[in-house]
Amino acid sequence: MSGRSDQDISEIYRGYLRAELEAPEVERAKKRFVLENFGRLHGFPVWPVACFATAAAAVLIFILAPLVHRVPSGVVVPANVTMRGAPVAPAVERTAVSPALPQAEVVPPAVPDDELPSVVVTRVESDMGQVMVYKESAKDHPMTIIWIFPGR
Amino acid sequence: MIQDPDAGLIAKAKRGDKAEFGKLVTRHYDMVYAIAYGVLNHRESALDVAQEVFVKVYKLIATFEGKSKFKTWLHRIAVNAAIDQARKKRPMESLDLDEEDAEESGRPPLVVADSGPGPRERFEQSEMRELIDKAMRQLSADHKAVLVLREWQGLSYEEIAETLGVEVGTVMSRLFYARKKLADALGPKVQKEVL
Repeated sequence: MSGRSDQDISEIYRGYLRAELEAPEVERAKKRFVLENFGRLHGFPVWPVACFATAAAAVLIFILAPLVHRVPSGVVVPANVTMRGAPVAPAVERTAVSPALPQAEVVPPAVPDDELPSVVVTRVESDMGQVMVYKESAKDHPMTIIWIFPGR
Repeated sequence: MIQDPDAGLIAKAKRGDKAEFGKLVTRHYDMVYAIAYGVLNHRESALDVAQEVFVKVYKLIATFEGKSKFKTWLHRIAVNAAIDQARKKRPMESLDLDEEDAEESGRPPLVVADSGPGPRERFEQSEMRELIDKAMRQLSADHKAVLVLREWQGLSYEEIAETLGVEVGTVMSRLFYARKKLADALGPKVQKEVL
């Protein structure tokens, strides 16, 4: 090997590794690893841009979501009444329940799922009182949900 | 105590600051990945090793005493992890390079020149990658470790010997052998330009 060919070999080898390091998959894996394990990226100039884009997307989703999904027309109102406890019958008077079937039995719902109002509740808070009442005034399936906040 | 550019981050990382350790990862990831890829020549395995190395370093950072530079310590961990992985998962293939193979395949000669397209553009040519990969498959993990530490990290023979725990003479002979294998594989391409 001549000196020149040694130099070329070195250059070719470094180019081989450099090309690998610049592969998009490698760059993505690096960013993902740092983000997932150490919280935030450091030294990546796209970070503020990504923050801004994420915030903008979140605002857009918040604004457009009601237009895409039909939001039930229910209202949440505070109930200014105290919930009374219902008396429970003594054990001897309770109706016996048939034992569970050994194999799961799928019972079709009385009303098809796609006709039910789509309500997704992920978090409920009460700033107004101990009891909150949600009323869904759908024509065929009126519904009332009562939340009780025992800790208040 | 050695003056270490990473000392500030290391001190914070030792106190459990994950974000500061993340800065160390960002700073040294390419170096660790290059070592792993240089030894393994396999992307997924190299990515796995790079991540394992940083997880290991995160667990061990409290034991880092600063007797050597952080980078040197990281070299040692990375190269050992890569060699271990190579021995564990990818036993050496005993492929003998058929010198006439490349010529018979009818591939167009790739010219290495000082001017013209840069290294990245040249190595987008898959033929060149294949030739290098083929040469790499003939080298042991120990040979490839020496090659990557010398050619990519620019370590001296003494530093490589210390990192790998071998004699300087062993480093020199491994490097000579590795370069020769590469030169043999790329010979027609390189020599064409040299001549």
